[in-house]
Amino acid sequence: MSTTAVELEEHAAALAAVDGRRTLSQRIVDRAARAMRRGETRRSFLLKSAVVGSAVAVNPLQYMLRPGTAYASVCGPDAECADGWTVFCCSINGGQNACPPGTVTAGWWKADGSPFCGGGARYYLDCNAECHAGCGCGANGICGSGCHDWQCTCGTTECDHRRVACNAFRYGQCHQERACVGPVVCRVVSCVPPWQWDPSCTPAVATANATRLHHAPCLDRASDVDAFGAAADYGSPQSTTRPVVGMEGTPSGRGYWLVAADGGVFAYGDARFFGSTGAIVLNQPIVDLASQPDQRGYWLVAADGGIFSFGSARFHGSTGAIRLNQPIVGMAPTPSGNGYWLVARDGGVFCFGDARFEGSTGAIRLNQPIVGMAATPTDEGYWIVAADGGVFCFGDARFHGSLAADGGAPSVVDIDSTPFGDGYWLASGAESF
Amino acid sequence: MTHVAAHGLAVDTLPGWEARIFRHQAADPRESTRPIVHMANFALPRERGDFGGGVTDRMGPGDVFVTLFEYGPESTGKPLFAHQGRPKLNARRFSPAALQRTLPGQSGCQLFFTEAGRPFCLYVVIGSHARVPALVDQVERALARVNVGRMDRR
Repeated sequence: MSTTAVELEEHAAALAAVDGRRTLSQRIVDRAARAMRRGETRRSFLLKSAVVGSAVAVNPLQYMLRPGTAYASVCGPDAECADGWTVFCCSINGGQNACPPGTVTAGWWKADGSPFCGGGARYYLDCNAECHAGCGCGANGICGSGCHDWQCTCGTTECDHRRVACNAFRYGQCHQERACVGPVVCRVVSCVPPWQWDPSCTPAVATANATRLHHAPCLDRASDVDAFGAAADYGSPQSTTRPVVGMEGTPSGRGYWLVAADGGVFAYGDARFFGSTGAIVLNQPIVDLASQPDQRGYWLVAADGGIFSFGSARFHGSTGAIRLNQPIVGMAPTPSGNGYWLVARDGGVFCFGDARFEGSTGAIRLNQPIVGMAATPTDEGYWIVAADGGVFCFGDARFHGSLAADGGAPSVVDIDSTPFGDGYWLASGAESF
Repeated sequence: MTHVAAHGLAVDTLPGWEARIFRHQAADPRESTRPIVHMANFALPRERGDFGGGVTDRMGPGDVFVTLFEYGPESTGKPLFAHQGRPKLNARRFSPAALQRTLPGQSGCQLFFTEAGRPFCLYVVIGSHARVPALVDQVERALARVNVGRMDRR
């Protein structure tokens, strides 16, 4: 039986152990694990189980009661053309959650309480068609159909059949220097406010909670790992039910773990699965994972600084009793395994066990929030990474490169170093916290 | 007739119309929440998106929904808001495509302008495009009873 099937069987057993009954989620996981044993490829299996998981999470009642595919439930409500909403950009832009060529961000709104952003706000940016040079418009801010390169049509990718370039509307917070844009071509989503990474957007909030469950399968498929220095790429999930939020390399340097917001754990290379928080109702989403030096255990940390220990990992304290200015976004273990650091969104660092303070970004004006940290093998330094891929070094940590100059929507979710500290990985996800 | 006033805005509603003036609480101190006016010739539901989410899908042919959405001071003087004063409505400004959510049969009009030094978007949805000529004058009369005052911008 493959490693992934073992992980799922253990997950299902953990679910049963918690409540003594076979839950819906457990039955789905069991079914998926049996499908894996029948010889499916790892990638197709991960995709199918994640899509089913997404359907249960996003639209459980519809998925169970109405005939249809899991994909249809993954897209959420109002996914047909006649429902009048606009398609997600990844559905028409080669899987990229970004404005396609010939469009420009013209505005945004948020939906509160989104399950895709750990219960927080999810942000939607409209990519409107660019108007041809010389085309004007009236006070409506929209140029006519002969003034842009798009035609009104319906999406045809998977279940996202929403509209393309049909709605002649703009929310208006972005690119206000452009008096005219065309209709909305598609929309980008992020858990990070747009005005934090698109300088053309003002922070004037518009809210539309009716869109909070709108989704598309392609939004779940954009997880990736980028390697720098001596680090190697061992793979990444084709799809996850929740965004990837953290990673940790094994002490051997021949593998790593990725963790999702619901505490789901994915192991690659020589990393092993020791459990997850899948059976626990979390107060706050999981934001990172840190492993023991013996590779036989790890910790998960939640946004409130709550610590969950698995395998050989021991509890050394948490920020539970501290009033945090900003949520915790990452953690790093000490080389001894007898302590760890927690880092907050503003770069504040909290030390537990034998971890020592080497500095923080508290005095630095950050362009983007901090999303993770990694420690050097000497216990005398650490790296802190921001959402745009900018890397900050403290103590004996050395700089090996960053993604900050690449531009685009910030998507880095974590950093981890090689065992000798001569390189690090930056992990990115479709939507980041 | 009802009088509502807040945030430097005031509305005296037409008979049979409802109005709300509100401003969201910022979830993040770096967010900018601005005053919003909602008006309608039907009962406004409690849960509403700023541009009519949860409202327009319930509208009948003779229903009208209006949003007056203010932007922050950083938007003052930008080309999008170059039109000075509130534009007058007429039937030609309405289109079945000019909608945040294009529902069958509906018609919308969206205008950006500056009034009293404040940048705004006016967004009007009429439940039936065929009813626009008959209803646009009523909408204009309702809007004439919206007063925008100058205020210290923050």
